[in-house]
Amino acid sequence: MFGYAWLMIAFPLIGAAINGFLGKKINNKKISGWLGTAMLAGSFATALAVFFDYQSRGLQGAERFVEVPGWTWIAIQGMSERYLHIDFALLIDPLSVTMMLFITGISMLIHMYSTEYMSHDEGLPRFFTYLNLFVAMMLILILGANIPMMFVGWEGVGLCSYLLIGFWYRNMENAKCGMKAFITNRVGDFGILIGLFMIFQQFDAYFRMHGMTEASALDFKDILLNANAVLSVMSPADALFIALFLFLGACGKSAQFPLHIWLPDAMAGPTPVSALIHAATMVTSGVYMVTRLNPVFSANETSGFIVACIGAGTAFMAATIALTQNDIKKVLAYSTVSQLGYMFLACGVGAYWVAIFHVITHAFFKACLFLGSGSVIHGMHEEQDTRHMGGLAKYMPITYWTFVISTFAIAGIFPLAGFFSKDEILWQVAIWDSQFKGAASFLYWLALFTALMTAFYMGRVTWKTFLGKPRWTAEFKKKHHHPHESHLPMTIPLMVLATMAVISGAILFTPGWMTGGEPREPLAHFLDVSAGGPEGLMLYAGGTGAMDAQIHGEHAEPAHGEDAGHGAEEAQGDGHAAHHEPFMLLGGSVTSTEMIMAFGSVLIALIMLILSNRRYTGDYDPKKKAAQKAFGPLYAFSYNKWYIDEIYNNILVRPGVWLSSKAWQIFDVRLIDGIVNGVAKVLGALGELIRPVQTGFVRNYMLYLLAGAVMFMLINMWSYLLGGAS
Amino acid sequence: MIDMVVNSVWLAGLMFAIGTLGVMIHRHPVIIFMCIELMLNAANLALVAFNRHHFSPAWRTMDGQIYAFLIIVIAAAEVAVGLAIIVALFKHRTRVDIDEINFLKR
Repeated sequence: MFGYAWLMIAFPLIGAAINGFLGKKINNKKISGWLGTAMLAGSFATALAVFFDYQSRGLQGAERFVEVPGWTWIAIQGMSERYLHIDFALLIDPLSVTMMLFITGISMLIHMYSTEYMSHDEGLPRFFTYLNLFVAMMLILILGANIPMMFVGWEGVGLCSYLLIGFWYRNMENAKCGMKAFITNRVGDFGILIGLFMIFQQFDAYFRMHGMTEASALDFKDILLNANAVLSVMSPADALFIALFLFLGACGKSAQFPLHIWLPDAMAGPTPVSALIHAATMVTSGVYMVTRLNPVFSANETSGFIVACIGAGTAFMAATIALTQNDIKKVLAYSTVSQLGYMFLACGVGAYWVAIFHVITHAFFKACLFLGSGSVIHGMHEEQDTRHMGGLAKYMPITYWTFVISTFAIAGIFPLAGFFSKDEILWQVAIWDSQFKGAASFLYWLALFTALMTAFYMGRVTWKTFLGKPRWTAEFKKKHHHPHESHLPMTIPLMVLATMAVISGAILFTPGWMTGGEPREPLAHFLDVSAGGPEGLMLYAGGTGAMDAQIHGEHAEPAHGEDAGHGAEEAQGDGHAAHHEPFMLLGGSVTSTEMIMAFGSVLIALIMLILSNRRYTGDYDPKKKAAQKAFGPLYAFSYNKWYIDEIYNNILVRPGVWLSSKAWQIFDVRLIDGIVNGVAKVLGALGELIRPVQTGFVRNYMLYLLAGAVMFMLINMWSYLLGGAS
Repeated sequence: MIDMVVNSVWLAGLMFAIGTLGVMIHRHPVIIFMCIELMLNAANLALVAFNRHHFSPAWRTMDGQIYAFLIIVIAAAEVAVGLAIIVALFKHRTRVDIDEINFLKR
């Protein structure tokens, strides 16, 4: 089954190999670019085939996790009869199918966009090599059947991200941004490694103890199907630490506080890279990982609460920063950090499928926004500062309209994609049923306030760029007269993505108050077993899934007796069931509350969009510095990104540099070099001492030989000679 | 019988001494070479003589004679290498003085 899924990874790898090794020989940018795009088209076609195949098979329960065998990767003989056996295999399950569909699809569009965007760049083959390699690594990350494979992908996408941020490496600033991203991610990787080791240790011990020789503690399927049994015997502290260490890794990859600092700087890379890696795909791999291992996060309400707090806090912080940035890409970067915060908020409250839902809709509208900003930068000839833009709508109509649509989508205007996903996140926070219910209401208001700011800063950047009076620099006017619209390879992806930003939300989910009864949630049903839905929770608790759910309803009795209560509890703790009440009731019923909350957030977003339109069109002039004067220190605080970079610089970087320079001066120069040089000096002096022995005359050497032989003989004959004398 | 062995060993010792002195005194590589051969052959003679001395019908040991053959083979190999070096030296410079060939020393 699904053996052809390997093609999906093979296509971009082949593309990367051809462009990487033969790119210079081919020496044709058109061929290089379209080859990369064609490979991704093949990948996308394979993904579609896998999806339809998967759907048509009608798999149930645990069968929905399909492992596609590859080859033995690591096989180590252990002390007992159990081997450590790791296969290079793929896991086709609802989560990986969902992820691969939008990853290959958006990658294809962005590759197509790049053929035009990068057409003036000498390094185009190199660019497509990295981009193809990135997609292959991303697919390994989401399709890997076990933890080590996921980690290979995890590091692979990090490497490609580093290579692409520093793509224009001749500029030292860009290279530094790449290093910052890489080093920040190392901190996260330390966390994820420890988390994964702990998972292995705990699950392996359990499997050994229960003689489950077939199960592997590294295999996602085995981990998920035995999750609750293992988690219930694990100490709560261990479960909490696993979740927190894993979340630290997710923070690094998905740019959450306190490791978010690299993402805005990653904008040094070419804009298609920002769209693909730093908005749509790679940065969501943290959300993917949390969803993939969701029982670990659900096991402990505290860990969920911490995840939710970090998510909401990051969303809020990034939104406040985005309010004042002038660089068009910086605004979008902080917006991405903010939206990722929403996703983790959803993960934290246990609504994993909603997080994935937001990943998908966000991928569409944010990729569209980034590509639109790339189109603007292209049309303005490498101008990124919105203060020097304005009035572009007339010259770039397609870019303008797609940008506006995506702005409305991210702001959450009905009926665009962002409305459905963001409101569902807010709703899930509102109905979160846990010991932290009181705090959840605070998180709700924080997230709602963030939505308000989102609408404002997105309106600000859109209107400032496209409307109002042209504020182009004198130099630009002299050289180019006016900006130009991009060509078709760049505008087609924009239009496709904008279309998806409109429809993807309504297709995948419709809330209950709109359908007038049960919510229509195809995505939730599809993701169920992978993302901790009711059926998934049965599976994690050791049940067989669909069968149990049908026979026993919500009160299934899983195989492991003592885990039953745990599983049933969990089953109730999720989903979109009506017995969940939000922290406050508006209009008397749950449904009306949901409706009023949705209307409220749309109204807020609309007001903010209109306000920003009034503010940034007409006779708006950044030279007046009205906002700086009105808000003073608040503006400076936001403009300087909460001074987090400065804090890190003073607390971590400076002492680090001081310590390492001291270590170098004392330890390296004095001690290590001292020992090495000292040994050399002693040996040299000894050599000088016995050097005169070597005269260079053969007869001398012969004499030494003879003397040596005679001495040897005398020593041997010593006793004989003595004996002879006596 | 004993006398013959004793005489042979004396002869071998004499040959060895002559060879050693020759190596130490002479400056021409070919002569030095010949002296080395003389020393090797002195060793051969001694080996054969001692083999004869220790030979008994019961044991029939031939170790010494076999060693002599080994040494002859080694000497042949050494001649091949040594002569090649000497020829190369002749090509390199017209006058060959062993005391002047001390490049490694410098």
